[in-house]
Amino acid sequence: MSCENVQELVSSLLDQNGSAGERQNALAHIEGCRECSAHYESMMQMRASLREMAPPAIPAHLRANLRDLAAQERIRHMARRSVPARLHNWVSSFQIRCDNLMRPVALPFAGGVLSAILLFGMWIPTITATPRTYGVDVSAPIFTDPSLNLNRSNPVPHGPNVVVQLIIDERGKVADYLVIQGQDSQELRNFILFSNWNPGTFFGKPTWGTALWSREEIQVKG
Amino acid sequence: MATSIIDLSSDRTAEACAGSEDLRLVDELRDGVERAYEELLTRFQQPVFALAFRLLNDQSEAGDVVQEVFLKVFRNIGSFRGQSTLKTWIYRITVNEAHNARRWFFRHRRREVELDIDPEESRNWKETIPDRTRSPYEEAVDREQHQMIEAALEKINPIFREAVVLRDITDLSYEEIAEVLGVSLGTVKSRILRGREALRDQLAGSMKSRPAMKLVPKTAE
Repeated sequence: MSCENVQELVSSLLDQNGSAGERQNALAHIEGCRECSAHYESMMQMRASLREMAPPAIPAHLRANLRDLAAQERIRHMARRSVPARLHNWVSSFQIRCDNLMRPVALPFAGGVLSAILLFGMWIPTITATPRTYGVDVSAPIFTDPSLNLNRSNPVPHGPNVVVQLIIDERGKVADYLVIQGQDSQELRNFILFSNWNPGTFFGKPTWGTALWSREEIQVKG
Repeated sequence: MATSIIDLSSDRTAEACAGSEDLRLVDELRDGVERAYEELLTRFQQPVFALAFRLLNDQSEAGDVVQEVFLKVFRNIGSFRGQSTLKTWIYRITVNEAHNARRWFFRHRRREVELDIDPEESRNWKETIPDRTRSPYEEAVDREQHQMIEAALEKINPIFREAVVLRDITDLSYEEIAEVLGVSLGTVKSRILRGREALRDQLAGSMKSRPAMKLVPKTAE
């Protein structure tokens, strides 16, 4: 067996490969040949060094990435197994996308709505007025009291001082009256019977109302 | 003789067990069992990373390849027919992906400057705890030796490197290597032989080019 043949068989010797007879012949040659022995030794040492090399440690971030990958692929696999699973996956992915889309605007939107409600609630009471049923105060634009129609057709009352509370209907006629101060007289009744009144209004429409009317005799001295 | 028969039968039993274990794992993966995904990662993430790293000699490239490999495994597990073992199937994907990555690297990234962080800094706290069982001198020698081997591996033809790595580092049999590389048994033997010789030549060359350290004894004056 030549050195060239033996050196080609060294690799098979290292791996315990090839026929037993071939290996025995090669080993016998190696024992007697210095060059082939050195070659065999160097190959054995190199192989031992290769085997002793510590496996490189897998980086922690790669482990984490692989776990994420496995989880995603499992979900993908499960979602594609049947038509209902596929539909469910589509719906859930659509919901997730909508959620992700709305999440950045949800807080500003909610804040805007709440502040709008708050401001509107503060502004509304300033424009609403409480309707008044009666009174002698300055009439509000919503409710007006009946007032005496100051034209020439009204009779001019004479007599002593008198204060009368009148109930005026929606046509401006006196429905009832009550003498609060002074004496009731025929002249007063004539006045009440023939006087014309502007009826009270509620949101522009004529309505029943009460009015106070008084007559004071002006006495001129001198 | 009796011993060899017993050994053969025990080997076959072990192979049958591994095969049935693989089939169970594959069935569970097809059913989407969460535990199976974890088991696959636990069994194969370290050897696949080691193989990719030895083939590419670049940690970040190896990481990308490992992710691609597992993506392909998860997506194509349905096409695994059990004609080979799960290990050789996954290793075959790894070798192909490493080959693609190397080709892509030579086309696109040859002129890029490496900006990756130092792997020493990226290690977690468990990896930074010193091993008290070995002396610093032994560690330094080992590290230097491994660096030389890695450098020599990088210099040999990738075709031969694949064969040597699969045989001497990953410890696959000739038949398994033939399955992984998709070549005949004779081609595997030839590649391993040529790869080992090329590696030995590279190592011999690097040893010659290094300046020898001389220890000069001195007496105190």
